[in-house]
Amino acid sequence: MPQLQDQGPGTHSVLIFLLAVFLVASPFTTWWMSAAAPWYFIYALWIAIIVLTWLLARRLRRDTD
Amino acid sequence: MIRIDLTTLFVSAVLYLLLLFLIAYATDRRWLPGWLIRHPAVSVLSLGVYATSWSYYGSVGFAQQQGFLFITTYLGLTLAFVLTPVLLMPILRLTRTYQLTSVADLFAFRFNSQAVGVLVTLLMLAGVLPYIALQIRAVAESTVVLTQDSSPQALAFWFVVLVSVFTIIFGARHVSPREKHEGMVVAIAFESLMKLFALLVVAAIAVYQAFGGLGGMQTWLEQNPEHLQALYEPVREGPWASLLVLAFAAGFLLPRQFHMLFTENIKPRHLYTASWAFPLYLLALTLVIPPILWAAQVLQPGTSPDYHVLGLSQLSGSPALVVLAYLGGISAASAMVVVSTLAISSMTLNHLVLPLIRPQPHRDLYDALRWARRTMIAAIIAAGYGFYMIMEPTSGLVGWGLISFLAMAQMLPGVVGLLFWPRATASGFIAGLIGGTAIWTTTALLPPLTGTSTMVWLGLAAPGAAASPAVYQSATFWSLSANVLLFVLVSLLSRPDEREREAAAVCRELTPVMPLGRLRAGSPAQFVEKLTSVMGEKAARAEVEKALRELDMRWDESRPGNLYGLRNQIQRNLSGMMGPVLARMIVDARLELDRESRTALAQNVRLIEERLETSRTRLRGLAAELDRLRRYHRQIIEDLPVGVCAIAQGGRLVRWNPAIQRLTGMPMAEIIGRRVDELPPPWGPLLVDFMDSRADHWHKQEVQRYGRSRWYSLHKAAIEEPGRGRSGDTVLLIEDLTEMQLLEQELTHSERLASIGRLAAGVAHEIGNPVTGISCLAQELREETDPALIAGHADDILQQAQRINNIVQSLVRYAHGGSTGQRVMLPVNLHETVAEATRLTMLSRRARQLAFENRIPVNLHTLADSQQMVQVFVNLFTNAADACAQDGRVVVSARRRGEWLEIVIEDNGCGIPADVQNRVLEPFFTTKQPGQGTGLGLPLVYNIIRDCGGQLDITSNDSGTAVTLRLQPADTPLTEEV
Repeated sequence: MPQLQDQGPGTHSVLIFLLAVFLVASPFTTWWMSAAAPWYFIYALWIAIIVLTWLLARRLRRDTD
Repeated sequence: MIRIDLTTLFVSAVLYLLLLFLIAYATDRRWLPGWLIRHPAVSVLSLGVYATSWSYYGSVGFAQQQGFLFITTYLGLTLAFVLTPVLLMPILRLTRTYQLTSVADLFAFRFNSQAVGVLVTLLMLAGVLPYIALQIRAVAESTVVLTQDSSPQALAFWFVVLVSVFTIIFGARHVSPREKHEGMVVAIAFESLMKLFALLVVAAIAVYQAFGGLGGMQTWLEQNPEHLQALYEPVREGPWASLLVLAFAAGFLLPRQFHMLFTENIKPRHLYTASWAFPLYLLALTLVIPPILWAAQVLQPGTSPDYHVLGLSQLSGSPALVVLAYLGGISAASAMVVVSTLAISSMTLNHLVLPLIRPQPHRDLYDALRWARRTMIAAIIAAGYGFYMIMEPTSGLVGWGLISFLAMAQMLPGVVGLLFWPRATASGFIAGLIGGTAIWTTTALLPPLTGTSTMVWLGLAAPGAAASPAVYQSATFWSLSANVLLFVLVSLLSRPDEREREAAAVCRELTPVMPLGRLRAGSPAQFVEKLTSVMGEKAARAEVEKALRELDMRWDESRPGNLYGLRNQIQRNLSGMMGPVLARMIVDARLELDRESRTALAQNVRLIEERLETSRTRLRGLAAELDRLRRYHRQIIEDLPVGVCAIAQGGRLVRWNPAIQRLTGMPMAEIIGRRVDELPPPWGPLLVDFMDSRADHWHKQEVQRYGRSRWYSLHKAAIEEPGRGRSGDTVLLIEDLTEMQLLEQELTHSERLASIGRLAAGVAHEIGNPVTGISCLAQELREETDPALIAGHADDILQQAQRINNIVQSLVRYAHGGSTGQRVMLPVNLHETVAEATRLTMLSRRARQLAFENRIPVNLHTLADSQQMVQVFVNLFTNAADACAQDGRVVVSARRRGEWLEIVIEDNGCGIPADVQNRVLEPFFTTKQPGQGTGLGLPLVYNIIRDCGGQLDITSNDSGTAVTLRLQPADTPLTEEV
């Protein structure tokens, strides 16, 4: 499937980046900050971004090897 | 609250720094295991240099004043690291390939401009020097906090001295970025562990003391929701997004980050590990900041919020914890000073000092560079110390950090241009940088020094915002907007020169850089000669030798493509030592290209292929499809069972497939790029002769290899460049026909023996007659007494014996004619050959009834092997005899047609049936009865005529068969096209 092959690591990382921007730098951010979220909520979002990056990096490292 | 005396702190700081020396030394001496030194975790932890005393001490103060805004410094970086495959990896690839050691190198390389390098370096210096001063101040202030001693200058001074010595010893050991400073990297990684450990321990003890544990803290937060609100409140109103942008830029553009991410990178894949592991490290480092803040709000240590970490450790009552917390701060400050200084010194040297003081040929280049770098390190740390001495103690730890971040953000448009916009020009970048920097200077750099906010003055910020991070919202927006606007506008209005376009293409990896002309230097020794005038003989020789070693080349290399690669490698290596602009100037001036003589496409094929191979995994979409197609086509050539070589203009070999490697025993790596006439015999002379000849095909060329004969057919064709006609390049095909040749020789011999068998009866008859005659004569001789008659009988006997001898000699010649491998092409008299063949054929019973008519002129010659030609005619006459009835007649005639000599053998036999005429040249095909023929006669005739460069044509009908042989006359050279 050429379409699938066309989606390189760049595409995935940009998608994760956009998701991260949505989570931590958008009106959604303002909303959860006003919604009395627990203090560790921002860290939970941060962890989610890190996990997604880890999944991508794991694949890329394997490809590099 | 416990107090620690200055001496204890001084001794522990010095001991800690000496421990760093020991770690670095142990690493460099390989006392630590290699796997540990090269472990990705070390690389990730070394990036912890990002967290300075601002993070270690200042985060708590920042959080108290600006709530969760403090976290933007780390979240912004995380966003940059998420983009590793599209942002950091391409930069790493560029820095590794072209030996770029700093941000200034990167931009100077991309925009091919010394001015760009100078500007970036100045901006970096302006942004980082105060930041270095801030670290020294944090060390001094933390000492004051713990000792209440008002004169920590001595400790600050010794801190600076020790850090300088460490940097000089372990950071300026090598002049080439290919050799990594592993000792320093491991020491910095240890420092990152140290500050994380210290902060976690302080946080755990403080939370326990204040709340009795995490549960207590949660209960306290529920009872006092205003504290959590205080963290969220500034975010909703503050410069959250702007600070994210600043941290995004700082994450990889800060000199220390750039140095650790790219310059000291050992393996590219470590960067992928860092993309998630480093944000995780920062998360761990910042996760404890809110608990520390709340613990301080409960315990009230009485310190400034910037130093709550120390205050809380004092409240614990444990001197060990206090010293640990203090050393955490020392580690944060020292790591930042060491790495920032290294990065800045390299930039300053490459872009401010070396362009003014060029390398001197009479001095040792490496020593000069090493000492220059050491001097720069000392000077920069001294400048930082000087800045610390005059710095106003009022501004918080965070302030200068953000000022520095904003300076780095001015590079962001340039980075985007570098990676994604080939149209960006040096003028655009300079204009944008000057515009952005001007706003940065007036809005961010000057206010802390002058005490007034230009933003307020300009009406761009609210009064009172000068001291708060809110000012960065406006400063970031306006400086970056001006920067981007000017960058884009001026880039569109200006035109990049050829070198800039070339560098832009390299950065975007759009096209591989092709040699723009022929290199004037023709050997590595000439490289040394030419470079000596710039850098001295010793350095020139060392550089050429290093580049040769890296490319796995020898000193006798003379192939233009490889020498061009050597030139690029030398340029890269010099770039690592003295910056890309100076390196390019030296190489352009000394190893000049003759731009008049553009190289042909074929000579660059290998270069293109190498580039495609290295970047194959990054090709997407249509490019990937095209690459697959290219590989498929190349594989076809590689897998061809015949030898293929392509020769470019100038006789340079550009392709050499595995089959030809096997044929010639010469590996591709040694051949590509050489001229054909440089190949060893027999191949060099053979291919040169073939290239020079007008013929497109040479059939069965005999080549002596290892004392044995082998036969090859050669074919050639001109290569056309699509849409441009003939390129002047040639493709050669070489077929190994040795097996076929040997088989044919075997068959010829068998056929010969078979025909001798067929002749045997005739031979017996022919010999029988003279033997009977001799026998009768002998009987008469016995009774004869008359001497005259005796002499007459003896003469008759001798005549009959001679007749027998002639028959036997003809047979022996015929039988041995094809058994030897060596063919000698000599002028052969065709009339005599036909006569000899007639005599032989007449030995057979059937042929004896034939009438032979030899009409060939007596002086007609062709180039051939005489015995083989006899075989041709014997086979044809034998066939004619088989086809003819009692009154059979065979006429052999000759005529010249054009440059051919046509020999026609006509008989009046029954002819060849029309349905088998197409098959008569097939081996083992026969129309004769079993035992009468082998089916090899005509195929052999065909092969022999073809070997002589001739042609064979058969026409047949009911009234007979005519075989036409087209031969080359002996006066025409055999190898020329007719």
